[in-house]
Formats: sequence, C-alpha cells, structure tokens
Amino acid sequence: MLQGRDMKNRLKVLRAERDWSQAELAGRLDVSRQAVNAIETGKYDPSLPLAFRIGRLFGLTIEEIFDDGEGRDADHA
Amino acid sequence: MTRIHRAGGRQRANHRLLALSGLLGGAIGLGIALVATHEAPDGGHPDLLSAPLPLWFAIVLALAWGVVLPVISWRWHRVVDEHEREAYRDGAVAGFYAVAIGAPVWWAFWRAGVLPPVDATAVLAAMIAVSGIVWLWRKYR
Repeated sequence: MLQGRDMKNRLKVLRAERDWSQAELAGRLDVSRQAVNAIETGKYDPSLPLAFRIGRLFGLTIEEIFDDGEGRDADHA
Repeated sequence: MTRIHRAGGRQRANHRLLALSGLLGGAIGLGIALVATHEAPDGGHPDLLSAPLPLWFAIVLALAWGVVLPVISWRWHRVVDEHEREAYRDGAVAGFYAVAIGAPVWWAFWRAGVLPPVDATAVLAAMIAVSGIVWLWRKYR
C-alpha cells in the first residue's frame, strides 16, 4: 500500500531487548514472521487493532512504539 | 519453547489450508493427465487442455474446482493475518488488471488478424501467474 508518510517504529529494538526472534514475536502476536519483518522494516503499517496488540504485549502505548513523523515535524517547525 | 513461541494457530491453519489447496491442484492435474492418457488414441499424445472428457470426470473436476476449492479459499481468508490479506489483495488487483487490460488488447489484435483468437486457458493462467507473483512479492519482499 502506498503510504503518504514514512512510519517509524521501535519494534525491532523492543524485540531485541527481550531477546525474542521474529518468529517468537510473530507467535505472540498470532501473525506471520513475514508480517513482523515487514512492520520492523517499515514496509507495512499494522492496523489499529494489531498496533494495540503490540502495545499491550510490550506494555507501552502505540505512540511509544510507532512514530508517524508528526512529532518530528513539529519539533522542526 | 513454549506453545506461544511457535507459529500461532492462525498461521498453522494458513499453512494447512495452502497445503490442502496444493494437494487439490496436484490431484486435479494428475487426474487430468491420467484421463487424457487413457482417452488418447493408441500411440497418440494425450491432449491435456482440449480433448473431450468423460462426463463423470467433468463432474468431479467441477466439484473440485467449483465447490471444494471455494470452501478451502473461504476458510483461508478467515485465518490469514492482515499482512498476508493485503498482499493477497494486491495480487488479486494485479491479476484483475492483467486480464482487464491484456484480454481486450489481445482481442483487438485478433480482430486485426495479427494474433490468434483469445485463449481462455492462457488468460486464466496469466491471471493466476500475475496474482501469485505479486502476492508472494508483497508477502516476502
């Protein structure tokens, strides 16, 4: 899907902090390993329900994991 | 490794249904080959695509492709994750455009006497190939 803005996320860092493989994280989220890889590399933006599942899994808010760039733009304004 | 670390239930169902689809396709292909070989004239090459089929086998094919495959597909669409659903949708759109653009272009050149008549089997094969390639590319890129 074409995205108007690059979404960045901390999923790879959060996963590494817990020493989880992509497959382990995928199992915990009940998605494919390819989905985890696509999210980590910014090739796929998860739906809101999946973003909430990710947030709950790591005990963080969606904004603490995903960054749509709006904050970065505001900082530069 | 605990259960949660393995592929989730939806992923296992996804793989199981894809394997089932592959087995069904293989069985259909094998059946067509066996029937075509059996029906071929002595010493002649079997015509897999256009030789007449016995009615009983045509009914089996119609049930496999028209009933069993849609049931498997329906189940598959219920278990895939959102990433694969989007990849599949992109593949389906690409397949649609391959037919919607390719078939009329072929038809126009047939009308002009440049190409043979539009071949439904080739159009179907092209649609499946384009859909599959785009689907896999979007999933594994």
